[in-house]
Amino acid sequence: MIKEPKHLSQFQMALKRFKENRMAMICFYILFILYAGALFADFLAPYSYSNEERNYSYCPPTPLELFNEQGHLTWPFVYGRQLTFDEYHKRIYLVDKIQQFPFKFFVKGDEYKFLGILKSSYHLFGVESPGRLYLFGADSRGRDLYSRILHGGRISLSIGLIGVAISFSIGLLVGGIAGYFGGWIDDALMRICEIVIMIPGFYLLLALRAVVPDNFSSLQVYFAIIIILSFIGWAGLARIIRGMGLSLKTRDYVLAAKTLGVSNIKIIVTHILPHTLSYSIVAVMLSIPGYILGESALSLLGLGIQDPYASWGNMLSEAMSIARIKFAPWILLPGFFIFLTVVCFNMIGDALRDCLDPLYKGEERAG
Amino acid sequence: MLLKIEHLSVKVKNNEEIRPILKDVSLEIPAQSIVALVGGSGSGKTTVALSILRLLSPALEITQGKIIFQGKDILRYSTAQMRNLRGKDVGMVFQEPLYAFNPVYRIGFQIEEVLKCHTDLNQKERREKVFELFNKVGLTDPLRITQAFSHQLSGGMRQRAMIAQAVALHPSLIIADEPTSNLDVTIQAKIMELFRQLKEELKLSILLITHDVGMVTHLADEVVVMQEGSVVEKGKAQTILQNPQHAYTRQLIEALV
Amino acid sequence: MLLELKNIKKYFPLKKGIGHKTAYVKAVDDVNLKIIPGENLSLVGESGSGKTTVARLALKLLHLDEGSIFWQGEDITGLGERGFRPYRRNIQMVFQDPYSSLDPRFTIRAIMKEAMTLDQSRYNSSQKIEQRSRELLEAVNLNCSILGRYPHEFSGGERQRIAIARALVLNPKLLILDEAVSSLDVIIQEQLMTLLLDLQKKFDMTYFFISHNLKIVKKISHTIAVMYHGKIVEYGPAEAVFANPSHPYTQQLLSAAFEYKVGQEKEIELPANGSLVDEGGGHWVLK
Repeated sequence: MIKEPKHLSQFQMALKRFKENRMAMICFYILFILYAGALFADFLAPYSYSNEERNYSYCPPTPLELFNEQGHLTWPFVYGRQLTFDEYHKRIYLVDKIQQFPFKFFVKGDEYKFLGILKSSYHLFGVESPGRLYLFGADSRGRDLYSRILHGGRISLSIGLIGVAISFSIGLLVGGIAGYFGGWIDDALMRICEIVIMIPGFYLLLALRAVVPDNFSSLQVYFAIIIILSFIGWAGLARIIRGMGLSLKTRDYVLAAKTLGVSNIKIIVTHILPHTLSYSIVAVMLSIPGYILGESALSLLGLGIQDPYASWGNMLSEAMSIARIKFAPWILLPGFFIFLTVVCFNMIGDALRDCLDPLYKGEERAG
Repeated sequence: MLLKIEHLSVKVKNNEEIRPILKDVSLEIPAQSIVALVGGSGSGKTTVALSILRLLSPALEITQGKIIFQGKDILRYSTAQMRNLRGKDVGMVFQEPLYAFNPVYRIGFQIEEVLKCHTDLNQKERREKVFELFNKVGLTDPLRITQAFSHQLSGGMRQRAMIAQAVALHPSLIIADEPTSNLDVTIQAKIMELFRQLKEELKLSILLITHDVGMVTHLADEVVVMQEGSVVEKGKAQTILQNPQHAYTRQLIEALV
Repeated sequence: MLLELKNIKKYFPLKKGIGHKTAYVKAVDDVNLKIIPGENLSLVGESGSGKTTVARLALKLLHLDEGSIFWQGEDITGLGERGFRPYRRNIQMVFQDPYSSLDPRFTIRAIMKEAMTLDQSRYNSSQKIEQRSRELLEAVNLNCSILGRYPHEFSGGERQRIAIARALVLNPKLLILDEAVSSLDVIIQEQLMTLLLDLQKKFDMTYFFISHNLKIVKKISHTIAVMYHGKIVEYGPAEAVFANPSHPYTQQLLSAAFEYKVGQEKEIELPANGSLVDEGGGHWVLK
């Protein structure tokens, strides 16, 4: 019989298999970059999210020029741009070749608090004013889309993680307790779950949002949204965990723990819930996109994060007219990032499900 | 000689560190006799059974040897020929009857399926045949058993149903791998009695794989003792049990006496 | 007197009804058992006879429907989970299936540490935990280098030894073994039974052994109780029961276990109002 590698827990073996899955690792690195970008947005973005310049409204992306007029390779720079209107009153940005703004590292720009503590005004890169660097183009108020996407990532990406952490915890506890104790506790908890599941999610979302007071600051609205989304999300997980708990509590090692005098809560947490992990982790991964999309939907409708704060959802509300999309297609980019994030989470969730499956056939076993 | 295994060796593919699963195993199964294959866990007895039926895990390979069944070397058989052999010439009874039957289909349906594939009896004839088989294995309420799912039957009944399925096509050899390990002693005695009956009535041979020497004493005509992949002693059951030559055989006989 | 079960009954409802009468399975039907320190009791019967239920009732993993349980003379029937917890150190159990009695996600070290839950004041440092674990693993002939490993790396026999080590952590006075060796092959069965006899002397315990096979328990039993359909049908000192089985069911079990012979084909009838009759020398039979 083939001896499995010693000292590896089942979880560690699953991790090893995960690392061997190329696609999943690529998705993992992409998400890592996105989250890192969001975390260090202040520093990585050339402008703050509210830095407006109305003269550059809907300015197309400004490419970095590598060759000067003579055709020689030179340090990257950006041409100046001049707004005019053509005979159809359409916006045109004329490239002004005389004004050249070199690309610089560690540019002094808008002030911010690094990680909320240190004051600084240095940004990783940028150009000196009056030049403007629009890597992804500008929105209606001339704000840099690239900067706003980085800042917006903070909201959109964190809502997924925090929201899921809350609903995951509630779902596990409720499901674990209902499944382990059974009887009237199980009945009561499951009826509550069913009521929550029954109400159509989106309407519940809107209704709960309507209850939030108007005078809440944006930060308070942000937390309110997370709590609302978590409130909807925990019930599905709880039901499944309860089902698993019902069968797990009959296992001999649970009875053994009881004879050893281990308390009920300890049994639930150390013996029952860890065995639901293979399902829970996958469920978590696959539901994070739901939170991101939920926030986007709310913000799109104007009920979520408000201007001037950036979230990928509210940035997309600008993109709701065909005319604008036709003339300034770059304003759809936040949508692409939502798409990228959702796809990556789904791929990782799928891969985890394969890896954690105890019947995984990736390895040969001798009979 | 019904079945003859000559110098069979099986090892794990691509791994030289692990010892071979079977080392130069040779044994004979005469017609209409019960041969017991005895040994502790890890002795390789199940591997011998799986080799005959060519149901080994893909991680194992047969490095040498011949398995001669009714005069032909079945290791040379094609996949189609093996499929024909299984069930029709060689039947198998497993240790855990709960997993031998598909839990979502009724027992009767599954046995009828075997008949459907290999014979051209019509539906009514198949149903009658199933009842006849159930009677033969001592299941006294054939209608109920036919309609039941495997989890609705007791362990002993399930095992009898599995034996019914194994003899459905009148094979000449039945391989029984620890058929009673999960059953109570009283049921075990009944199943052993059933094996004796089937050997007489259906004129078949049984390769009985077990670790229980008591069962061997009371049921087997011949015995083959295996330890760690090799045959350490073989011969007529009564001779070996009264006069064991090998230390391992002695250890097995003296356990729990 | 260590443990006494008096007139215990446990019924399982067949159908859960809202309002209408439900039918019951009498898993344990008026059973009386006494376990005396130093004298191992074996409870023998087929699957479905109720013997595992008796074990679970004795450990208070299930609630009695009727009857009482006494531990060292004290009535523990009415104790709730919390009240009974301090008593648990005295009665431990080794389960039948070595593949499901150890949590596959726990290391051996974690398993042993969990066993010390009731004695956390004594085993309050990782050093003490480690030391106690070593002691017990050595007692069951296992090397303490296995502490970092996981259950799936061991064979059935080894896992049972780990389960035994776990059960011994708190030095219980009574160890219940529910078909603890039935799923292993004979040589390992022999080894484990010998080990258990050694451990009994070392740790001063009494065994309550549950099995369907009289052959397994022959060496280890002082007293035998035979159970059939929820009732005790024969009870007495081991030599008496083995030499002179009076009840037809006991005879059936003996001939099946030792001679592999089928008993009578008919189902044995239990008398409607039977009671245990003394045949002399503490040997009782249901008539």
